[in-house]
Amino acid sequence: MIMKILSVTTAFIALVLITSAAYSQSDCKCDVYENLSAAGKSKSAIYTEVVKEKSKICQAKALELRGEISLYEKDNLDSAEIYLIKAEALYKTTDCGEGVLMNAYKQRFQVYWSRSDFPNAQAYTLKFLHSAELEKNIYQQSMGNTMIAVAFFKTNQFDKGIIFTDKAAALLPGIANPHQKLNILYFLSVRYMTHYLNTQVKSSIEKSLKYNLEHLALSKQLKDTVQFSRSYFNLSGTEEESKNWIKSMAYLDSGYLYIDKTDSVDLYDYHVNKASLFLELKNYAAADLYADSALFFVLKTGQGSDIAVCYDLISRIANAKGDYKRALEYSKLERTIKDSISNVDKTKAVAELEKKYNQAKNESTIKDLDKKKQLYLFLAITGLLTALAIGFFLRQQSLKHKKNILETEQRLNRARMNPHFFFNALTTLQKFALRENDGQAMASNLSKFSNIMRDTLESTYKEYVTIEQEIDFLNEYLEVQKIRFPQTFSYEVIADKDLDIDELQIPAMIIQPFVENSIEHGFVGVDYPGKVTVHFLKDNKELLIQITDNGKGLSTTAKENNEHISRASQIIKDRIYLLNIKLKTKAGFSIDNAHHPTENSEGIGVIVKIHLPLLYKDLKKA
Amino acid sequence: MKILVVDNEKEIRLILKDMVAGCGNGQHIIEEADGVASAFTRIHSFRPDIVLLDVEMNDGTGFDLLKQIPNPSFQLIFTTAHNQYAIQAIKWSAIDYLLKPIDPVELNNSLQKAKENINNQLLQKQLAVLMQQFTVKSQPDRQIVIKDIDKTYFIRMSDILYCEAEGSYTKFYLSNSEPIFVSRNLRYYEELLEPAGFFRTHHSCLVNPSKIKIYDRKTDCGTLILEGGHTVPVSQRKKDFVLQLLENR
Repeated sequence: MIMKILSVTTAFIALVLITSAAYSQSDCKCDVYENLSAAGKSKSAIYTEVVKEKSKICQAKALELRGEISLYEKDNLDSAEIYLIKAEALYKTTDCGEGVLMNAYKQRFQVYWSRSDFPNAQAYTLKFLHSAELEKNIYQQSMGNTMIAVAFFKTNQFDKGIIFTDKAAALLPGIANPHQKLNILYFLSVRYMTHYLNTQVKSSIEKSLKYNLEHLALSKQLKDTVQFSRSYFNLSGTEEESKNWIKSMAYLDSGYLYIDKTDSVDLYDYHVNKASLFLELKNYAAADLYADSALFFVLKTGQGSDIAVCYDLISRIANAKGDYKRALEYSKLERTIKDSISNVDKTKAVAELEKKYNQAKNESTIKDLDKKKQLYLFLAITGLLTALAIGFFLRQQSLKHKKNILETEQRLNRARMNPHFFFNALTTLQKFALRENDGQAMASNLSKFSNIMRDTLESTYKEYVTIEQEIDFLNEYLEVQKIRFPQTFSYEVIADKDLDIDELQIPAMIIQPFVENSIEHGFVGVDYPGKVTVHFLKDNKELLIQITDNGKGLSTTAKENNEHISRASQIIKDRIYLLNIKLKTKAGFSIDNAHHPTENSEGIGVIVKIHLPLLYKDLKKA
Repeated sequence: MKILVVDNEKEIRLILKDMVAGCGNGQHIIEEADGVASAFTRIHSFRPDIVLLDVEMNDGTGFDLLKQIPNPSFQLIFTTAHNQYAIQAIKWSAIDYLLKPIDPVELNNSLQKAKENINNQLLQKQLAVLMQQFTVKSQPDRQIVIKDIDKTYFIRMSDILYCEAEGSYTKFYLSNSEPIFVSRNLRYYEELLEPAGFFRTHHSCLVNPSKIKIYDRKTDCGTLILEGGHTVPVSQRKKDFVLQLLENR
């Protein structure tokens, strides 16, 4: 847990105050600014003077200062960004090169950083680093490297982040100014700690501790209370890591005495660590209180990943208290923020930018990077628009087909062959292997069975079949049914000569359920041979299908019988309904007792009549 | 051994009788019945040791037949073609069942098992468990029957803490007795217990939600602490689901 909190401590706000630039050309310096800044005046005081100067460089500096003021005093990222963009544009008209832009770039970085926009933050770190190199400013170069490192850490690329941390550490001896050295020491300590916490690499925690101790000593020597408090916060983190809660708490409280009470970042740091410690100590009420304060301060800073950490902490406190509703609520908030920050694209973008930068450096022009960035932006926007267009198109398509899909689904569900048939039929096929030892019959019946299965499967995507196909299917189906119920029935499937059975089509799978009804229910318990007939004929420019049996007939008492009839009739009802809608036809069907289907039959029998339009193969009405 | 084959389809009865005869080297006395009513009379006159019973027949279901026999003194093996609802209920009671078309090897195994259990008559109790499936679905203390190598356990669902996968085996952790090791995989029991609210917190754990005491989230995804101090891991994907569940209970 603490790893997150520590890595968060890495705000850059303080470092900006110590920014000192040595401009190579004199007309590339705003003298008023240099003098006032050397005199230690506040930013707003310097601004009021600088803005009066007429030179381009001072005007640019004024804009830059306004951006800085918006950023640190007003927490207004949007106006800060606008001022800094203006400042950058103005600097670029001065022919002073990239060097003068160093601080403006750093501020831009801070804006994106605060928004957790790591790809943009990384882009400006690289520009900043380039300017620092041009200016030969070792301190700022070292700072730039720690900034790149943290961008990698934030996107979970620890192996890359540590490389830049090492680079920053290598530059440390070249920094003469003790205040600047102090800053770097602090960042190094935090970076190495972050690396250790995420990778458990032992040497990193040792380095972290070493730099922290140097930092503590130097901040005492310089009487820099803010830095002093940060040392304590770091020590508190180390103790928390080794589960010395009380000691950790003591360091935290000591640190608190010295922090700048107007600095939201430090205040957030204190409160969030405090809440976390109280959670460990199971003092939930106190934990809740501190977490609330932490949330208040972190929302002021607007740092996305810190907010996520805070939400997670609140969620865990609520969870420990058994308030699962709140726990879930905050867990979801955390997830949302985390997902938006650390998605794969951003992780990639950060790494890509670094690669691009190294290329750009070889060509020794940062403009290239700009162009490339623009290209990427263009590509990203194009990609986004394409995605949107495709999304829109697909959505339209899906709406259009939604009705169709629903209809199809309904049909598929109902037109399914009764699964009982398959398994019971297969069982009867075992007869040929076991009982009759007749391989020939077994093979032949298996292939009949397969044909039925094939037709059934095909019916799920074939809406219509020709009468010829249907006759073949029914013959095969009835043949297999005869194996199940030998000697109980005979059958006949006939079509009148004047029907073009290879051209005329009917909806698939509408006859089989009625035939199945006759065999599995109509003939049960009858003591005479059953007969089922399917007859296709032309009737007044329509197709008439008659399914007749001589079984028990429709019964008003046998509930079961009617259930089966209703399944079959529901299937055909749906199919005919769809057919009538689509082709504007007037298809219909009827089910009745047949009374005396054949002269010498004993049963009442059932007659089903299905009227369909004459549908030829290309589905045009006759 | 006296064996009664009950199925409404004549052809299937013939085949089953053949298969059963094949298993017994001609030692078995086999009779048949074609429905609920005829099976009822046959059971009384023939007094079978083993009944092979179809679930769906013309004049009712196999369950209808069993309701009419309060003290069954035979071993029961269900045979069914396709009826998820019935199979689910049969699984709860751990009564043996065979799916059609029947594999003669499986039939032989089932008959062998029935023969071994012939003096160990638990059918009446198992049937009680089976029948409760059709009466009260959501009752938390309804029973489930599970079997390990040599014993049959009648467990109340509310006594199950969680089930853990161990290869293709499942270990049942119970609140009132030692864990039971069953030779069926976790998926089998997930299908059975999921409708009763059990859920997978992790690929190897199926948890009874009413047994969760604490959701400990010290680690990244956290662990559940159940009654009796058992701990169960929660996978990353299930984190929010678990919180939702705890919130709603």
